[in-house]
Amino acid sequence: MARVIESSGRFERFVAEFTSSLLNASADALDERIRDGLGQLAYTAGAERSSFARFSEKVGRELTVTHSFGKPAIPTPFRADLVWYLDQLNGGHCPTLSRLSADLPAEAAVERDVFHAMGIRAHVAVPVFQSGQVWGVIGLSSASEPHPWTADDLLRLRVAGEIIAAVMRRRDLEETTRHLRDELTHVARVAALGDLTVAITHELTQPLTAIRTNGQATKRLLARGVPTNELADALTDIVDDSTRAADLIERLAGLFRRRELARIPVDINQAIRDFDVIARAESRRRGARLVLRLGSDLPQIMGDAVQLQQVLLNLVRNAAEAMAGLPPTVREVEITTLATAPGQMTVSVGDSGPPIDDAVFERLFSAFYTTKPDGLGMGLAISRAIVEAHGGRLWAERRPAGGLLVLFTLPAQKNPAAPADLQPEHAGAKPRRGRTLDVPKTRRG
Amino acid sequence: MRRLSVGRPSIVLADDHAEFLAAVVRHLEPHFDIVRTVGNGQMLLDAATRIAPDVIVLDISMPVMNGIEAARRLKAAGSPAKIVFLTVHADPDYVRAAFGSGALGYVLKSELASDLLPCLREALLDHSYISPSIGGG
Repeated sequence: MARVIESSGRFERFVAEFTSSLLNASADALDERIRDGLGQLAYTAGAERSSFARFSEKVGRELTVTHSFGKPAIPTPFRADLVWYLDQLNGGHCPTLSRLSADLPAEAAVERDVFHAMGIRAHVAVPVFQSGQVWGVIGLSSASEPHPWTADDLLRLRVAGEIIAAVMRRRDLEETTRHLRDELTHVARVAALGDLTVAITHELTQPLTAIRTNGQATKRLLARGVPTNELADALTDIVDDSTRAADLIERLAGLFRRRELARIPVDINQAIRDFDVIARAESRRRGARLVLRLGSDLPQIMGDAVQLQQVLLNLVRNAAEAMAGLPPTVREVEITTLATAPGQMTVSVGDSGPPIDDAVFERLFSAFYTTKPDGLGMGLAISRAIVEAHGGRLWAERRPAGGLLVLFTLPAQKNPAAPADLQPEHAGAKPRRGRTLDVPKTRRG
Repeated sequence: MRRLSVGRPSIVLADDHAEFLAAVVRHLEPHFDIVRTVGNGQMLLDAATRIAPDVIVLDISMPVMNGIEAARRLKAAGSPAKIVFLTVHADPDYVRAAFGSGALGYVLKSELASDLLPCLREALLDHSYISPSIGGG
């Protein structure tokens, strides 16, 4: 009796540790930890291989092995040609084969041959469900027969299978969320396109005018005959202005291109300087001055410069608009960057506008909240999402003299979302009891 | 060029699961001089004869020649090495066969972290050891 209690205590510890290690794992480490758990499961059951596979959602329901642990000599038997075996799983049964010769029915001839060729002498598999359908399978294989699988083995398999399925589904959801956020950012960016048309037109007018003037001068010079230094100068200017215009178009177009979040080293001060043209255009449009106070010795961060410029654009526009009611001489948008802690920097965008009342301040970050008649109101919420995707925080403070300061931090490390030092929780999960496990009758032979 | 640590017992490991073997090596490296790792019973015979390690840690199920057979032959040839089995099998028949072949220790792979080092210490003192979770009569 003591042994039974002892062994169930060990399994509960395994469940607690396994769950904790999976929930705390970064996306990269998850697969390895699932395999480690499968290994522990195999050894505890005296098996040489354990595997997890999931069914595809398309018609035909292919079974693909996602994780497997074990000796190379014993492969995993989740294969499409094992018709009887897959039927059992799809029907919600648990093929429990202690001795293949005795426990495989006559119609499972293919299975018998394949298992034998693989060196598998005993095998057990448990289907994992989602919304009433079989979603995946977890199984154990042994090279020795008979291998008497116990009810405990089945229970442990089921619990481990559910845990693995749960974290895999969570990872799927996180990826979907990421894509949706990128979609949303893109939509908001495109919606903002109209606002920037004036800025773009204005900025392009100067180089385009210069190109036309120089082009006309060149034609006149050519008409005179022999090329002169003046001609060469005029041509050089045309090339320079064309290049400038093209660069500008490229930079601006880059803002509106759909993209996944990049993770490359970003020099935030440089990104701000590159973005300066647009920021000044935005500010000037609303009659505000832009002031840059860029700190030195900033840590280099990993991230997406274009998306961070999108955040700054949003904040600069908000800041400039907030000061619409003030006399032009005092309208100032200030961007600062500062190293605030080892491996962290803070960027802030502030305006010198009027004091902000509580009701407005409370609702700043609600998605779809806006005081602008034609705005989408998603700017701050999306900006916060982008900053958080970089591992930082975005918040706002009211300035003592009036106006708003929006700040965000950016950490320098690569994988800021992985928590470093979490104590594993004692989940104390009890294996489920009282469920009937469908076990085919073993034939004694 | 292996640095010899005077005083650390030498060990040869045998298991056909390379990945698992790597984990055992990491676990034992601070305490033992791991002279060789092999993947089957025949290679173990060759290595043990040549190297004469203090301790042999081996799996039972291995291709070409299994661990029980390899242990039997080593003992018949007069090898003084302390033999410890590291295996998935908790079945009493396996345990009996293992000790019958001349082994001093028997550790379950699922209990590697807690049982292997204590077992090896006992084996070096010529004491027998079996994973506590293998219970029963």
